[in-house]
Amino acid sequence: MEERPFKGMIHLLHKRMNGITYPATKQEIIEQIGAERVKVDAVTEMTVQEILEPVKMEQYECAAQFYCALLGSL
Amino acid sequence: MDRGNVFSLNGKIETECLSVVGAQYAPIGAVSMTDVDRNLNTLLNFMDRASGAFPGTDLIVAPEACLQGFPQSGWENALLTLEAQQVKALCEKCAELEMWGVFAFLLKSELPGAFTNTAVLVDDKGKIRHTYDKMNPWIPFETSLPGESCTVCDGPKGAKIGLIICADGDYPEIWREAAVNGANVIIRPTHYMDPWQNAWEITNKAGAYFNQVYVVAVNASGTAENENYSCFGRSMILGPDGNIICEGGNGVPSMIKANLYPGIIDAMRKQAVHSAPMYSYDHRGASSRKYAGTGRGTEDYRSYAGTDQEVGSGQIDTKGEQ
Repeated sequence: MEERPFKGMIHLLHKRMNGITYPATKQEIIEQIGAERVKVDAVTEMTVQEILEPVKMEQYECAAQFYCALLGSL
Repeated sequence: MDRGNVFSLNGKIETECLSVVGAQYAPIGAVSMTDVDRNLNTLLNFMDRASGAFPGTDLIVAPEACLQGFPQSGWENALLTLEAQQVKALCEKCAELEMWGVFAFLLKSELPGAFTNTAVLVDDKGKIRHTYDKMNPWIPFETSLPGESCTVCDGPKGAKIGLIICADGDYPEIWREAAVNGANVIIRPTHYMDPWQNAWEITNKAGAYFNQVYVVAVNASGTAENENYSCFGRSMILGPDGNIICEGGNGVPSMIKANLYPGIIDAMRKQAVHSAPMYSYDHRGASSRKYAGTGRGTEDYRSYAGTDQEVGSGQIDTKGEQ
C-alpha cells in the first residue's frame, strides 16, 4: 500500500481545543487539556502540553493569536 | 448563514436573535416643513406596517435623509433639530411599538448656515441613545459638516451598533473604525443612486467581509418628487462572509427583514482561527518565526502616512502648505 504522509495534527489538536475559550493563557490550556494526546505523524503521538512546549507566547487574546503563536514556533 | 473558514469554529455560542427590518422608499425633496411632515407620515406608516408584517421586530432602519430627501435647492428651509416635533414623533412611535429605530436627518448646526448629516439610534423607550455625524459627506454636492469619529452603541439583543451614512461606505476606513470600536452590526442608511448599482453591492459586501460584521444597508428607492436622483433601492442585509441575506426590490418601495445573531460575530472574533480580520490586520505575519503570535502592526501601511508627507511630485502637501 502506498505510504501517505499524515496531515491530521492540527486537525486533531483543534478538536482537543474545542472547550477552550479566549482570552486564554498557555497555562490554562495545559491545565484543561495538557494531558490529552494528539497524533502528530504516522507513528508518533504527543500530549498537548508537549506540543505547546516550544510556544514562547504565554497568553492569547483570540484563537487566531494562539495558532499564530503555535505555528510560528514549530 | 455563515460559510466560515477552513477551521471549524470551536466552543459553544450563545446569542440572542436580532430581528431587523429595513424600509425603503423615496422621501420627497423637502423644501418646507409641510414636505417634512409628508415624509414623516410615510415613515410612520412603514413603522406601523413593519409591526403588522413582522411581529416582534427589534429594530427598523430608514434611508438617509428619511424626512427631508435631497432637493437641489430650498433644503435649508427643511433643516431639523433633534428637538423638532417630527423627530419626537418618530421617538414616540418607537416607544409605542417597543421597537428600536435608526433614522438619519439633516440637522441645523450651531455654525450659521451649516448643517450635519446625522444618524440617530432610538431605543424602544423612545430615547435617542446614539448619534453619528457623517464623516464623508458626498462632496462636492453635499455641503454638510463632517463628523469626527465613528463610535459604537449597545443595541438590542446583544447588538453593538455602528452607524455610517451613505458615502461613508465608499471608504474602508469608516467601516473599519466602527469594527475596531466593537461593532457587530453596522447600519448604513443611504441615498445611493444610479449609476452606482455595482458599487452599492461591492461596498456592502466588502464592508461586511473585511470587518466580519453584519451590515444593514437601507437605501432610498425610486425617483422622488422634487429630487433629481434615481435611487435604486436594493436595500440589503449581509452576513459576515459578505453574503447577501436579503435584498429589496429595485426602485420600488418595500421592506426587507432578516434575523441576525450578533453573538456569533463576537464569538467568531474570539474563536475563529482563519478569517479573523480584526486580529490579523494589525498582527501581520504573526505566524512567522520572528513574530510568532505578535506580528507587526499598522505602522507600515503607507496609505495612512500621507497626512504629513508630500504627495505626488512633492509640490503639494495635504495640509495645503507649499
